[in-house]
Amino acid sequence: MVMLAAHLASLPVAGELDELTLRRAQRGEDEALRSVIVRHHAAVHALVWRMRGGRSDRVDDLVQDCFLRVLRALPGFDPRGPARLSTWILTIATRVVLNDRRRAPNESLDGADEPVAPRGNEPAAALDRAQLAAAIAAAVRTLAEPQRAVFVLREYHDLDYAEIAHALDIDLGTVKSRLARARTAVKEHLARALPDRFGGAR
Amino acid sequence: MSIEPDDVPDPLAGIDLRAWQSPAPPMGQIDAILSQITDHTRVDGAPAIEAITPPPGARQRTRWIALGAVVGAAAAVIVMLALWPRPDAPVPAPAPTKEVVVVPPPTPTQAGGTVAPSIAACRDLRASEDWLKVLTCANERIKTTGDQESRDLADQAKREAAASLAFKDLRTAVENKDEPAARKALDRIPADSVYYERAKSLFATLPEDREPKHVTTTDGDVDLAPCDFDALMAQAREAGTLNQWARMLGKAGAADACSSSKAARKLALLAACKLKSKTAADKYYAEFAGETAMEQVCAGVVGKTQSNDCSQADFDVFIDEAKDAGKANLWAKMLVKAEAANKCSPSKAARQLALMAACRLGNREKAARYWKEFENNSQMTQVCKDVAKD
Repeated sequence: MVMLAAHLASLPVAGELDELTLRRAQRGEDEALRSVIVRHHAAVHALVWRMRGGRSDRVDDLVQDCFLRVLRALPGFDPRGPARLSTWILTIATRVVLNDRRRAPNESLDGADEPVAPRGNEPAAALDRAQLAAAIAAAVRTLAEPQRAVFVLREYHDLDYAEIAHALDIDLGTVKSRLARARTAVKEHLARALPDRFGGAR
Repeated sequence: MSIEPDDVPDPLAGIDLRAWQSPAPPMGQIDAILSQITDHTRVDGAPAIEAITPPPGARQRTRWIALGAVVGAAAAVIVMLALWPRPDAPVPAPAPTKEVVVVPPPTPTQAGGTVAPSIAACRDLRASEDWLKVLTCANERIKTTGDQESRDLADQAKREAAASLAFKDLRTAVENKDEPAARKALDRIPADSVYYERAKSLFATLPEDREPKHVTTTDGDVDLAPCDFDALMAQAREAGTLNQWARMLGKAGAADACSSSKAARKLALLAACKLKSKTAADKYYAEFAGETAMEQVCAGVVGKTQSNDCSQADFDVFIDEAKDAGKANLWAKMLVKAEAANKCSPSKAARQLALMAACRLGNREKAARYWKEFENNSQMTQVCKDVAKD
């Protein structure tokens, strides 16, 4: 399973929607709209879930809210513009989550889901991976909201700095400094949570 | 000076951050989203990227300032009215300031001081077809104003929420070509529901022999499903002029079901070909094979020019779905999607995904089918060591 997951992760990221399907979606054709959602559903769900620190509650509502915004605004999306469709959608999702969090600033993100259990033929490796997943989740939850957003977009969705800057409406330097701080904080948390593996010198 | 990650080594280098995997998204959510999108919301082009809202402190300050202004203005008006001399009343003795009771105007506010939404704002939410939001909005007004319009809106939200569930059931039944279930779901949607027209169109896409148009009773023929052929044809043509091919197909199909008509079937075929729906196009194509115009419109969808059932786009979608299924450990689905991709356009990548899925499933027969091509691939050897090599 570990190898398969690694292999799948190494496969090319799903390409952008082809132009014809995008145009059909912009005209509101059901089949094409479905293609847009099918293609981006997993990524948006993962983004929202991680931005919520690995908590499932409200994720479905936020994902739905995001896609409703996407589909309503799709006719206005310019495929020749600066943003790829996938980045545009992730930008919408990011802002939906951030604004939702701002509406409930005191909401705690404690009590996250159990990490997805890795399956495979090597129990020891699976256990290590599960521990690592739990430690990363806890580390990401400790990040301040702005740092978490930058970290998730960069590390899990491969957005480049300029795309992150646009998504979060901040400048490039801020993206870089937030990312550096987030990475350092995550590393420090991992060193405390799993000292045997990450407690040594960098 | 800002810290720039480009300038410093990544402290997380070598750490497999992807160990933190997100769970698979719920499968039914895509249908739920699609069912909430209405024709008019699809084309409004509204900006989707909302501005990031200011921090709550700023918003709260703004709210308090606005509230203070309202209260202040109301107090001023009341004081002026109280002090204004009236000819038919004795001039009151000046009251000490501390005894002036400030009564704010009757704004619909909740106990917490939040201003309740306007009825217009609540009504506008109907466009999103998020009935929970509409109901919540209406309930907020009921708590504060208790007006009949809010109660009516709340009732409508409840009815439409039930209708939306019925519409989802209808969609599933139509996809499964389950006519009794589809009819049952259709019957649950009241005629005044926003889903009713869509539901009828969707129902009409079921095979045309799904129902008798009339039943004979002791009183003679009773029309079970009265239909207006001319109106349906007009609606189909109108949908065509707006490039709404799915709607056009539904209306033309319904017209043909209403009164068997070559013209209706031609419209349906046109719509099906524009939609690139091979299933629907195949249903109508035979009658028009040889007509140059239809051959051109339907090239690549049906007929002799069709070399395969799916396009490159379909192949890409199948591959993506297979990968997504794999990421979610849905091996059976991954196998089906990978095989569909390979059937669509034979490809080593598709076959490799199919082999992975077959091995993970423990499906020896399928694994054996694809194994030969990858027996020297160390990754596949690892994944399939207990299945395909036997």
